[in-house]
Amino acid sequence: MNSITDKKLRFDALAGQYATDLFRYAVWMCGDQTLAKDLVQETFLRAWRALDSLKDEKAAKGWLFTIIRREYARTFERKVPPLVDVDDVVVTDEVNMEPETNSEVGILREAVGKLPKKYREPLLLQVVGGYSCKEIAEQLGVSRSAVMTQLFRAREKLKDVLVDDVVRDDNVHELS
Amino acid sequence: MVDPYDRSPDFLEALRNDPDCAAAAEQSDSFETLLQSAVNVSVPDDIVDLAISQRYQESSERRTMSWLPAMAAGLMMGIGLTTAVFLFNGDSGNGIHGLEDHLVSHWSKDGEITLQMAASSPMDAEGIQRVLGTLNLVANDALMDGIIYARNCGTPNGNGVHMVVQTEAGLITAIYIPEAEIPESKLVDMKANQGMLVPMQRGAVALVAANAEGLDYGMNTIKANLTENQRVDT
Repeated sequence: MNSITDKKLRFDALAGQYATDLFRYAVWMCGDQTLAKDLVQETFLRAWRALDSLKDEKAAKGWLFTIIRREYARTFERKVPPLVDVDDVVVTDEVNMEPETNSEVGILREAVGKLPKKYREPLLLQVVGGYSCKEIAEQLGVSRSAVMTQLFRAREKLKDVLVDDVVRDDNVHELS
Repeated sequence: MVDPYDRSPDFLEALRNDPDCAAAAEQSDSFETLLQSAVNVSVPDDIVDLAISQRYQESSERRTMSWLPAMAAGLMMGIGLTTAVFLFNGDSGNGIHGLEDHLVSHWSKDGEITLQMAASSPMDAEGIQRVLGTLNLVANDALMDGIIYARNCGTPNGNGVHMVVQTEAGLITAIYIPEAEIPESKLVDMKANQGMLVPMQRGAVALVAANAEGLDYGMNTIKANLTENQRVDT
């Protein structure tokens, strides 16, 4: 197999394996499907140009997430308003859920969209990207303990939103 | 819980021996399930194709730059030739030459990656039948046993089905093109692979195989075992 064919096969395999996760991550970071698509395309264009520098296939995922994070920071961060209507960008398998669960997912979804970036980014790397705390620390260039704190606080904030909603519901029931 | 995916020996030990830990873990798991559902974003069907297409964009940019002078010179000759071909051959995109071009382009775009995906994640029969059903296609058992992957794809004038079939001669690709009209089977130059267009009861099937045996299997088995259900208008 010649080197260009080999390069194409490597690249196509990376696209098949990681394009979906990168898109999900991008949507949550920039809050817009079209921009997220552009971000993924730009990421893979850069990846194709620099593929020869990727020596270890095991590092591919981190490499691609680094590219998309830099690309997001470079291109979109200053232009994109915060996520407002998450229903426009998110689809879940709601038809199979209990109504109560469905409502909790909706509340949680909105809360994730409103999390400050310092909490949202590590949380998405963990939940969407499947990264460990150590890997997130390497990605973000912070200590592992800082990541653990951010993840803990992110989850606490989300849980608080869920609890607040339950309390509000209970009050409504009492009033009616 | 900071790392709900933690399954270290210490954690598992605590889970077994400490009821409070087990209860907390259960609560955490329910929360994580909700969280996973909340961040579940619908992904466009073409996101992998879009990612892969970036290397063509790069390649075509480079080709355009390096071949610019030659292109200019060839353009004049090309116009003359195209005019001559058009005058003597009224073939459209649906004609056999249009289909040959389509097959070559379709294969170069995602033929190899689809084969890899099929080999690594074969689909179950139900999923395959669902895809075939979108075009009212029915595969008899002899063919159904071999199909390991199917998805809808674009073809000239409409939707088709891109299939990967396991044969004794290895994996082959078959692309069903419903709106094609060709009078007879025709070999297509696919460089490293072998390609063929095969007329069907309706439309055509474009085949790509690594060898003549695979092509032969495709021509005989697919032609005999892939049919279109008659639509009943009510």
